[in-house]
Amino acid sequence: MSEQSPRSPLDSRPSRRGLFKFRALAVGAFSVASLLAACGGAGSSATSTTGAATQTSTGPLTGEVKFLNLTDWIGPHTVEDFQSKNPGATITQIAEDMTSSSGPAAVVIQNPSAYDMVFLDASGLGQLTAAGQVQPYDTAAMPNYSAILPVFQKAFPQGVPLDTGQIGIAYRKDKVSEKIATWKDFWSVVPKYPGKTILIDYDRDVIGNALIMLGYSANSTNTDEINKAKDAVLAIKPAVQAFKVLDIAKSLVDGSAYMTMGYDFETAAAMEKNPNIAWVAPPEGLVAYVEGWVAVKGTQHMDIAQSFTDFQHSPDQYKSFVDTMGVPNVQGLKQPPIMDPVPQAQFLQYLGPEATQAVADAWTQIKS
Amino acid sequence: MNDSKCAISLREVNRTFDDFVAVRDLSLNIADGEFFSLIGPSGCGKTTTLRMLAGLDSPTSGSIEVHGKDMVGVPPYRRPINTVFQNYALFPHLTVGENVAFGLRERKTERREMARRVGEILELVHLPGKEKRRPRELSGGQQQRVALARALVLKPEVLLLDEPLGALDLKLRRSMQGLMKEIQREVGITFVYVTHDQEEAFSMSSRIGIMNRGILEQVDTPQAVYRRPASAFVADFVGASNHVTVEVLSVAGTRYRVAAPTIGTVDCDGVDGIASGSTAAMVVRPELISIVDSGTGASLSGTIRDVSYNGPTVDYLVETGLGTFAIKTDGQRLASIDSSVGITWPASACWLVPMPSELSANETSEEATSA
Amino acid sequence: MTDSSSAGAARQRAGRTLRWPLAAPTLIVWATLFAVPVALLILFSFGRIDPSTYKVSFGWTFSNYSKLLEPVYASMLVRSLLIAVASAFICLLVGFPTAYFISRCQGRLQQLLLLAVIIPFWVSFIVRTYAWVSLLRNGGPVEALLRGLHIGSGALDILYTPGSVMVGMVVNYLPLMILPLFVALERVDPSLEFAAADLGTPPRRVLTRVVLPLSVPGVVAGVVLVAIPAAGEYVVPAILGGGKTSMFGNVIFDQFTKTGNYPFGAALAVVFIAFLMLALVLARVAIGSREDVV
Repeated sequence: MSEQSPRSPLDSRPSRRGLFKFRALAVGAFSVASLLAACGGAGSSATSTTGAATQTSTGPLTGEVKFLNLTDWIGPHTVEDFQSKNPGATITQIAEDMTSSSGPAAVVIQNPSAYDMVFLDASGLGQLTAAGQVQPYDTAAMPNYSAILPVFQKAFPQGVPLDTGQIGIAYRKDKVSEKIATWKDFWSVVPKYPGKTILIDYDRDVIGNALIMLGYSANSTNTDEINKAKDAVLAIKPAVQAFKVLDIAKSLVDGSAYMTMGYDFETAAAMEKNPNIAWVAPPEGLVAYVEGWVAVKGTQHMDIAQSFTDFQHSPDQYKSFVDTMGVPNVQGLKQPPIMDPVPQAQFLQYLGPEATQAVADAWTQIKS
Repeated sequence: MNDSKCAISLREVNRTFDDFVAVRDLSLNIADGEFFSLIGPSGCGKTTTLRMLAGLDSPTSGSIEVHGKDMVGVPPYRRPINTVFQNYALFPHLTVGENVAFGLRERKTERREMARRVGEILELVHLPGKEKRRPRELSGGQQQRVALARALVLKPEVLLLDEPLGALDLKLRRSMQGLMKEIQREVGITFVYVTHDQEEAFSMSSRIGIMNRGILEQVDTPQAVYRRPASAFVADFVGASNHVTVEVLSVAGTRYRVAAPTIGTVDCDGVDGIASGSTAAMVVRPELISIVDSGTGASLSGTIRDVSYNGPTVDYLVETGLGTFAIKTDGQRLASIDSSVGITWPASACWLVPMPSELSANETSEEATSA
Repeated sequence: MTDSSSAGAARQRAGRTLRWPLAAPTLIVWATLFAVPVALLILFSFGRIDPSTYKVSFGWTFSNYSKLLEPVYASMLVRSLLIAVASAFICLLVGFPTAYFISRCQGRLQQLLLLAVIIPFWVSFIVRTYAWVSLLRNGGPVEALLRGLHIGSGALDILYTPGSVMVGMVVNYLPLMILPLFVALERVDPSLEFAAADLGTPPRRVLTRVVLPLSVPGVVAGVVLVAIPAAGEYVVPAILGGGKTSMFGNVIFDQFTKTGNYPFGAALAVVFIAFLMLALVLARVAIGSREDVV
C-alpha cells in the first residue's frame, strides 16, 4: 500500500458492487430468520403508514432505521456524524449482496417489514415501485436534494440517487494488437486471446452490452433479443478467464488479463498505474447506471430516513463519499473526464417481471 | 553342532536402544526340528530376540542365519519364518478360512490346492469345517489355533511363537500345550517358543534358553537346566530354590569342597570355574530337603513359619540361622506352625553356583516369580 | 432388601419421568432449527411466486420441480455431484498417506501433526479461499515453485481453471478426510501389519490387503464428510473458478438472494437434500456391512 501515490487511493476502497460478495454469507442466517418472519409476521406489514409523510416534524428523531446497503458504500463518517447529531436515532446497516440487478429489491419485496431503507439501482427501484413497496421521499423537505443534477433526479424517481457509472471496454494497448473501438470489435477480438478477458459478474451489465452490440436496447424486454444476447455472451465465454466483481482492473495492471468489460472509475484508477491501459466508450452505446437510496413502504421511521438521506447529500458528507469511493457523482462535482456519462450511455431500467425473469434465466445459463 | 544341521544360528548378536542394551552378545544354535523355548522375566530380551528372528527388528551387530542363509537385512516377508503372535493378530475382516489362506494367496497357490491345504491344517489344529466363521466368533483357544494354522500352512522352516498361550486360562493352557507338542512332532518344523512360564517351557521343549537382562545365561535340556543351573538366577527362575552362602575350600574339576557355618563341610558338584577360596552360593531344591526331628542328624535347626497344604504336597517355610528355607514335602509327615524342627538334605542335592553379582539372589528370585 | 429394591424402582421411575424433560432442550433446538425450516422449505417448494409482487402463494404445484428437469439445471446437478466425488477422491488419495503416517507417529509428534491438520479450520473459509487466489495467480508463489521445478514456464494461468477449483476444494476439505481416516487407521492394530508381513506380504500389499480394508469405515466417513459439503459448495467455484462454472449451490443461492424466487430455490434445495440423504443412506449401508470390523 505504501508505494501508492496519494492521488490514487482507489485500490484501497471497495469497488462498486459490494464486493465482499461473501460477506453476505454472514447475512445468510439473517435470511433464514426473515424467511421465518415472512411466514409468521405477514400481518405486521399491513400496518398503515398514512402518517409517515407528515412525520417530518421538528421534534427530536428517535428510533432505529434498518438500512440494507452495500458494505461500506457510504461516506466514511456519515453514520457516526448523523448519530451524534441525532442521539435518539440509530442507523443499522445490513450487508447487501448486490451481484444481480433484481436481487436486493427482491429481498426487500419478500420481507418489507424487515427494512426501512435499501440501496438500489434504478432498475431495482423500478422493481420495488412495481411491487408497490416504495415510500416516496418528500424531496421538497430535503434542502440538499436540489444539489443533485436534475437528470439524475429524473432517473431515480421517488428515491434519492447517490452515484452513477458506466460499463465500457478497458484493454491493454501493448498486449492487444487489434484496434478496439466498438462492442463488435470487442466480441471479435476476445476469442483471439483465450483466457485473457474478464467480464463483470453482473447480469444486466453483461447482457445489456451484448444487446447493444447486437443493435438492440440495453433495456430490451423482448425475450428473443435477450436470448440472442445470451447466445452472444456464450459464444465468447470459452475465451473468458473469469466473471468477477472484485479487482477487475487490477488484472489489467498486472497483465493477467488483456481485456475487460469494466467500470469507468475503476479503470480510471488503473490507468494512472499503467498507461498502456485504454478506455473505450463505444459509440453505439454502453450500459450505465444510477443508484441511490430508497425508503421502504411501511417504515415507521420515515422522518429519520429522510433526514439521514439528506444528511448524506450535505456538501461535506457527499464530498467525502465521492473522494473516498472515487466514483462518478450525481451532484456534478469535478471528476476526471471519463467519469462523465457519455451521451450514448443507456441507463438501466426495470424491465417488468417477464423480462426480468428472462434475464435471470439467461444469466443462469451463461454462468452454468 | 554342525552349522548345516542348524535351523537357526545366532552369532554375537547385540541389540541396543539408545543406551539400553536389550540383547548382549547372544550366540545360539537351534537344531532342525527342535522345540526350543526361550524363557526369562519381562524385559529380559527374549521378545527382542524373537523379533530379530522374524525380521521385525534388526540386530545392532552380529549375524543371524537360517539354514545357513544370512537373514540380516532380509525383510520379514522374504524370510522362511512365520510367527504366532501373542494377541493372535487374526485379520478381523476375513473369515477363518481366508485368514489361514492369507499367506497361500500371497504365494499364488492354485484355488483347489489352497482349499485342500486350509482344510487339512484346520483338521490338524482340531478346527475342522470352521472356514466360514469370523475370528471374533471363536473362543480365545480357537483363535489361537487359527493363528497357529495360519502360520503352519505355509510350511515354514522355523515357526516362532511369542507367548502364544499368555491370554488363556490355566486349564486351556495345559491342553493347548499338549496340542502344540503333538503338532510339532507331526509337522517336524523347528519351533522357537518364547514364554515367561518355565513350567510351560519345561513340558514342551527339547531345549531351553534362559535370558536375563539381555544375556543368554544358559542353554540346555530342561532336566539339565533344573539340576545344574548355570547361575543363581537360573536356579531361581526355573523353580524355587534355596541358597546357602558358602566358602569354597578346594576345587577338583567341577567337584567342590565348601564350608558354611553350622552345616560344616560339604562335598558337592557345581558350575565349572569357581575359584578356590571364593564365596559361592550352594543351591538346594526345596523338594530335596527333608524335615526331621531337631537335633538328631539334622543339618540345621529352625522354626516353621508357614505351612501351605497343596494336596499332593505340603510346603513349609523354615526359619534357620542361615536364612529362611522353602521346603516341599510329600505330606507324609505334618508339622505345625511355630514348632521347632530340623532340616537336612543329602550332599547330592547340593549344586554350587557363583555368587550373584549385583542383585542378591533373593531379589532376583522375587522379580522372576512375580513377572 | 425390600427397602433398597423399592428405592431402586423409585429411582428408575424418576429416571423414566426425567427422560423427556432432560431431552427437551435438544429436541426443541432440533425441532426449531431443523425440522421446522425443512418443513417450510418443502412447503415453499410447492408454492408459486408472483413475478411482480414477489408474493408466494402456497398450493400444490409441481411446476418448480418440472423446471428442474431443464437441461441447464440437470447438468449443474450432475456437475456438482461429479465435482463432489472428484474432490472426495483426491482428498482420499492425498489424505490417506497423511492419516496413515500420523497414525503411526507417537505421542507429542502425533499431537502436533493433528494440530497442524486442524489449524486451517480456525481461519475463515472465505479468507482461506481468497488466499489461494494470491497463491495461484500469475506471478504468484505456486507458479514460481512450478517454474523452479521446471514443470512449466512463462505465465502458467493456473487461476480460474477447473484445476484451481480442485485445489481450492481439496485444501479446504482435506482435514475432514484426514481426521476420520486417522481415527480408523489408529484403531488398526500394528500387529496385524506385522502378521501380514510375516505371512509373506510385501509392504504395498499389506496396505491393500489389510490396512485399507480395515480402514473402510474411516474412508466412508471421510468421503461423506467431504463429498456432501463439496456438492453444495459454491464459494470455491465462484472465487477460484472465475465464476464461470456454476454449481448447484450457486443456483440455490441465486434463487434466494438474486432472483428472489423462493419456491424454485426451495425446490432445488429439496431435491439436493434428497440426493444427499440418499448418499448418506448408501454410506451407512456400506459401513453397516463392515460392522464386524468395527
